Amino acid sequence: MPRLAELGLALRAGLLTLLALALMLPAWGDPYVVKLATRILVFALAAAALDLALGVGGMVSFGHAAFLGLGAYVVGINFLHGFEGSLLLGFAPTQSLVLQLVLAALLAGGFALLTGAISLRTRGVAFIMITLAFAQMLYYLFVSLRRYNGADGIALWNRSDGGLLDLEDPVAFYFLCLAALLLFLFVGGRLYHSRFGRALRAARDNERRAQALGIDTYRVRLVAYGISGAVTGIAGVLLANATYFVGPAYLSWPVSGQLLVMVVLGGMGTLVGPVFGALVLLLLEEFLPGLLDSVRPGLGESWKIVLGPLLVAIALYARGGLWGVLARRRVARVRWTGPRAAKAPRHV
Amino acid sequence: MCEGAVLRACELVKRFGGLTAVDRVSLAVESGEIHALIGPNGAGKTTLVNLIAGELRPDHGRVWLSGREITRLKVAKRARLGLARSFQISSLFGSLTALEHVALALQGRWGSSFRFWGDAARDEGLLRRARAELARVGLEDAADVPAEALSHGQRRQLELAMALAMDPVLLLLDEPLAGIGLEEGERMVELLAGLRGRVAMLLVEHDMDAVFRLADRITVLTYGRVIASGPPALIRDHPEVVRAYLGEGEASDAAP
Ligand SMILES: Nc1ncnc2c1ncn2[C@@H]1O[C@H](COP(=O)(O)OP(=O)(O)O)[C@@H](O)[C@H]1O
Ligand SMILES: [Mg+2]
Repeated sequence: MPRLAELGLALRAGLLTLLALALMLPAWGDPYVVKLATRILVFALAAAALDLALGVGGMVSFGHAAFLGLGAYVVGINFLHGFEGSLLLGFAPTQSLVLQLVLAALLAGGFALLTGAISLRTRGVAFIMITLAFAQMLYYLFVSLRRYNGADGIALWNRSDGGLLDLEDPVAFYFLCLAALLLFLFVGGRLYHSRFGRALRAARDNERRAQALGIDTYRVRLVAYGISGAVTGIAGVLLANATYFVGPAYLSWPVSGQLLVMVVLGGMGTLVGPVFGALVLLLLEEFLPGLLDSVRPGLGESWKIVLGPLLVAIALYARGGLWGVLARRRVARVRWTGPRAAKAPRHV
Repeated sequence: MCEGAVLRACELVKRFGGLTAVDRVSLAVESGEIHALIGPNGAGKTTLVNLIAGELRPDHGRVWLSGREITRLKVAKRARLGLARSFQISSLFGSLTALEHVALALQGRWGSSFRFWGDAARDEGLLRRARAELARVGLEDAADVPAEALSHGQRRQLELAMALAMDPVLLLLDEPLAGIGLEEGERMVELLAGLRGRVAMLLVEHDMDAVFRLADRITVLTYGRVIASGPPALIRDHPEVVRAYLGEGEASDAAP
């Protein structure tokens, strides 16, 4: 993740404008826009959290939907028990947003630590497959859980209890999601530049060397994976509230894939990049069909055929993702060390 | 028989398929001593270094560091016990600067990689120490240069700075002079000579001049076996060594 001070003036101005737009967006007054923007913020949070594992830590997880889904089910299950007036594992269910966030972080983080402890013993394709397998395992578990409506999922009649904040107010909920994203970008930035972040990147770039320096790369990775899972779980709580729905589809592999696309599209290892990845991907998914229809009626139905190659093209042309394109100026800063150094991005 | 000394390797064996790369090798490095390991290419020197550093598991034999058995410990754990090494082929993190490399070595050795908040690039305690370590090898002017922009010789110096930053109990150096120029080589030899008596060292090196200048003791390896071990004077005249490795002419050239 770049330091703010290292970015070009134009880019800093651009980011500031974007932030101002995000703050003013509800003033537009269109409920549809607020709803879409909220969804984008939630996925941006999940994608940035995935990037901590994927880009910063070099762990290609194909199972992050599991953490998202776990967070969402924390809301759904508590809602169902609250609705029935029944106990949840002997405890009174909670509708408190704060408690649900804590529970989701613990549950998703715990699941990440547990599965990570096993999958991080492998590398490469094996790691991808094992993370996928763990997520699918959870998916089938929830599909078969009759108690929680199996494949039908749980429709929520109301959002969690935000205390002083009335989450039923779409604008209040929107600002909550925006705050969550900005908070994670700040915390993630601190993490990135901390000793822990350095060790994590060292493990990614040259594991053998990092170990020879005394860095326990397995443990460093595992902790990063746990944090990534916990934050994705938090995004899951927000997702359930945003959609008034929780279902096993949230845990399915296409969601994991979608998060991966957001990260790669936005720029791996930058934490901010995936925010742009989420923005662009969700906007395309939303508007590409209509756009194609206006070109030629009926064409909109085949929008996925257009989206696929479009994503491939972006991945090929913009190798550092959208963020890489935006931040290209940054490279000039180290030009003096010679052409070879200028090509590679500095990671600190 | 296998305890005492800074490093003691006992009856180490490593096989790769049918090839026995290291064959019942025992050696000891006493405190403050420079122990050179020589032998022709393919003799098993790097394999032995990897057995000691923990990157390879021996098929037989044990390793002790400062009286503690480390045979089964992981690489990182051994490093935190003070076993620092350089690699035969410089192995760095291309985009990090020289200073960041040394800072990474410091945090690795200190076991302080689980600090999540403070900015490592503004951590004065870490930076001051890292700068001092760079100055020790004469790299202070290159502190902010990315490793990939350093010259080959400078990278070698950086490797040494990182190893020294780890406040090593034992320094494992695999051909620190390989491929660097005359001037930079001379500088490296002086650096290493300055460490004699303070840091125990196992030095793998092909440059016989340097070996005879630096070593307190030399072990000769061929085909994975120790064929001779002792003070330089003894090794220089050892008939089997002269035949197997130094060659008649070279042996007299190498005499200072
Ligand atoms: N990982 C490996 N797999 C198979 N053979 C190896 C491996 N590493 C080294 N060898 C073989 O072991 C022998 C000793 O190699 P090495 O320790 O690198 O020698 P040196 O460093 O003395 O030149 C060589 O014959 C080499 O080909
Ligand atoms: Mg070698």
